[in-house]
Amino acid sequence: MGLATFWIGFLLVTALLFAVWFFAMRRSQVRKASVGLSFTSFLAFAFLYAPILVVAIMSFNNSRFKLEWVGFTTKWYAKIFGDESVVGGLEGAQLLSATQNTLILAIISTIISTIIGALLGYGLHRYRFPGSRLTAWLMYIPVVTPDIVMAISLLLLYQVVRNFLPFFEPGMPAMVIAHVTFQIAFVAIVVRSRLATLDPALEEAARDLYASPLETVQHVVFPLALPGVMAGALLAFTLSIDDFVISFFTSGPESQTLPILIYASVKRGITPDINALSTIIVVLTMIGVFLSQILQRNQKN
Amino acid sequence: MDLNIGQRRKRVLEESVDVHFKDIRKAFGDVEVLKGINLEIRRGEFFSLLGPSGCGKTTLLRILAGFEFADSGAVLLRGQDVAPLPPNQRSVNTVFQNYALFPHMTVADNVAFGLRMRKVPSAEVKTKVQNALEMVEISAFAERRPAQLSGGQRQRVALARAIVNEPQVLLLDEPLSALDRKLRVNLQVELMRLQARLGLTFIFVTHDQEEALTMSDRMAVMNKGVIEQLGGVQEMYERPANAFVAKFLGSSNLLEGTVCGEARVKTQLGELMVNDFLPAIGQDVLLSIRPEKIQLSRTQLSQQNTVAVSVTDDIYQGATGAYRVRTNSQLELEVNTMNGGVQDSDFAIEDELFAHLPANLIVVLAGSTRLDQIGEVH
Repeated sequence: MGLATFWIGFLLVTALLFAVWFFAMRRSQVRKASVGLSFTSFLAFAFLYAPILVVAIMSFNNSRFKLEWVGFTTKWYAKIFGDESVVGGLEGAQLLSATQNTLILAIISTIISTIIGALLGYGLHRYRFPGSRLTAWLMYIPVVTPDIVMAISLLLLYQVVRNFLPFFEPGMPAMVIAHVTFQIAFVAIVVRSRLATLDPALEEAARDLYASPLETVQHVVFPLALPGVMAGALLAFTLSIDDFVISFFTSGPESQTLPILIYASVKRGITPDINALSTIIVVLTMIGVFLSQILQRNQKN
Repeated sequence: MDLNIGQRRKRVLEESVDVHFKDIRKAFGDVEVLKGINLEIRRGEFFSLLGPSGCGKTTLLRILAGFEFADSGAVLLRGQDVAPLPPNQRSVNTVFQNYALFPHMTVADNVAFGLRMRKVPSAEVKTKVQNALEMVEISAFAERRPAQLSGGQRQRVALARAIVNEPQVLLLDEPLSALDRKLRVNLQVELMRLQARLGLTFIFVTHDQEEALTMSDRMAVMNKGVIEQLGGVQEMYERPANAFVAKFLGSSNLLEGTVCGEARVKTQLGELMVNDFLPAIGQDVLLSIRPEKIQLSRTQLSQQNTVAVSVTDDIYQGATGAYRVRTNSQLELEVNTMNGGVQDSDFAIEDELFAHLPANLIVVLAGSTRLDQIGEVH
């Protein structure tokens, strides 16, 4: 296979994908999309998903080291789920515990940050108090701060607090707190923007119809904010699973997460079984996002 | 003995007052929106608060509902001060301007909400909801969501959701303003019937003078945080107290003048006979006459209160006709006529006519006596 064959194949596949995309857009839009708009959006999506697609393709490549296509195989997947699985030079037990750590960290931090973040979002939406504007503004700091800055500041803070509280030793509790710290802001922003779309008279109507403030939240505000709360929780969960930098700085020897483990193994070179593992993670995430979309759609109707 | 009877009568009268606003004042920042409102609303009446936007009428309603607090003054609901009660403990219900139906609940659940919050037994909730839905004729939509209803249907749900609680007073905050004209007129009639049937006190907030005139027993015209006039609908239309009411409630021709004799006022139209009560000779007055009270004719029917005019505008309005006429002194008058009525009413532009202003239909206004001191009324 020469270079020319590769380029011709590449262009043909791209043209085919674009044709499918273009006709899908023409059919589904109320206002018919122009060629230019279709092409721009196609390019945007291509840039987003091409790397993932390459990883997925290479995970089926029957070659241990080469980046060129040798033949189709599922042996890298078999290796992950095999009895004596060794992925990227890592033992299966290590991998399993890292996966567990990642999920435990994501689930616990998401639950905590969703509760606190949703309350913060509601509080900022509903009440004007001295400093409410400042709080709303401060909320964006964890969003815009680079991960590395956040990680180092947490590390410093933990070193100080550790003198008084053993809770902040490197390890799972410290990681949960670190993740909650940046997740809260995302949840609060999503919930607040959802609440902003609701008619303020709805709360008054509930109060007018004999609901106490608590009952108003229970029967009116919360059900209506739920899509926002769910979206915020999903975002927080994804951010936690995805996070490398902050986890890396706050983890202990017993609390390695999947991104940390993969990073460690990749230092020794990318192996196809890592590609397979990454593909599995992507597919699982996609299923999760898809399910939450269906949930939200059902709620709307 | 006499005193006793007097006291008893007074108490009965007081008891029949449902809502009593006592010197209510309210400011938002530097803006005073209510400047000492005193108002009694009687049990079972259809009462309208009418005024331009920003006059304070909605704020007054929200103070009664419990969504705002007065800076000073008191609100008595059947004699009880409501100040310490939160909105959910006041026996008033509101029909909101944009309905504020709960979008995640069915029509039936929306209507049942208030009853459920008050822990009414579920069997009772069911029958009451059914009755309320029937009363506003939307039983067929009980299981739909608000998003699946038209504007008029949503309005009915909002109404059912409020009346099902059998409140002492029903507050309606411009509930018809989002509907188209034909539907609005139909719902006006239905609201009046419903009110008569339930015997509830309705407090209706609106900026639409026609709506207020059609529906109310009594009304208050508000402007810039004060009540300009309070009274029965007919009384207020026929005898507006001041220039604001005269212009806001319907339209009026206003004339500056000076009292020049017994029941005589000197104006730009010449000397007019006025039957209304006049101040002493030499005093300035402002007179008002409704456009439909002025009689136009081709021949001079009377010597008294009649001026020669020429038609400047002829506005065809279907059932009625509107004319602008100008006197020799360049004063413009607005005149309305019925289409196809008894009198000759088919005039054209530049016709030379006589306008007759009946002495008993001219009203003397209180307040400012100069036109240039009266702001625009919207």
